Amino acid sequence: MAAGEAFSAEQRARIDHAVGAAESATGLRFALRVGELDPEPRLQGERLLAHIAVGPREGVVVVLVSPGDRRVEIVSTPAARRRIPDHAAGLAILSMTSSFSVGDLVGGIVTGMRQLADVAGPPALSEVSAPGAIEGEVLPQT
Amino acid sequence: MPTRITAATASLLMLPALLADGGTRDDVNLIGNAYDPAPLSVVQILGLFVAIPLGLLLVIAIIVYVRRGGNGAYQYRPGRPWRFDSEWYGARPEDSDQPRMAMPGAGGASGSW
Repeated sequence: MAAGEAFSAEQRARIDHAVGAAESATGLRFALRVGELDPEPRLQGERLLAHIAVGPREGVVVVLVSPGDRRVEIVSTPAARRRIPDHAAGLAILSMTSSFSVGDLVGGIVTGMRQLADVAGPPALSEVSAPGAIEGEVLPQT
Repeated sequence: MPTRITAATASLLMLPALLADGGTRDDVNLIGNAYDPAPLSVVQILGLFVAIPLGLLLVIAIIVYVRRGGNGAYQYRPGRPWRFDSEWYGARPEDSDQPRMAMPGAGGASGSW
């Protein structure tokens, strides 16, 4: 382990806020991981996605950032893919990597999250009425 | 913010000079003249040539430290190694060893820098 911390408390707060804002603006679940990647990042992303999402109908987006490998990977469930098409995810990756390439990890993550949230847009009404469904709970119908 | 700190430090450094009086005729005689300057004491020499430069060095170091944030966070530059444990933000995978089904039709994109 390198000495010190990867991020300062303030940087962590910014990332947390960006992820939280993206989740509340879209109703999707976002999972961001900053750390080393396997030799096959795509496979790793899909495996992690399967461990986070209950099923393909749940909107989950996994973002893997590996500063050491200089690689970023976005994986989305089929439900999330309908809201964030692959080309839009590619554009988010472009803006993230342009920040990463000048050493601005936090800025890249924040803009990437914002861009993904913008593309996805607000949640559909059916999703808003049952926020508990995100956690897999069943809410009583009134 | 850093500009303001620098300006404040500069004003503080100026303060003793501003507060000191202009000096009297006797002070002028104390330093001698151009052909016969009065000798400096050891304390004066140390003060002039050691304490003041060290003080300036310290002030600059403090300004640089404050501007960086001084939080000990790693300064990432592309190509530098990243040897930290992975960190999760937002949703995270459940710690279950049971294999899950693959997710057919998963989308996404990837990139490198």
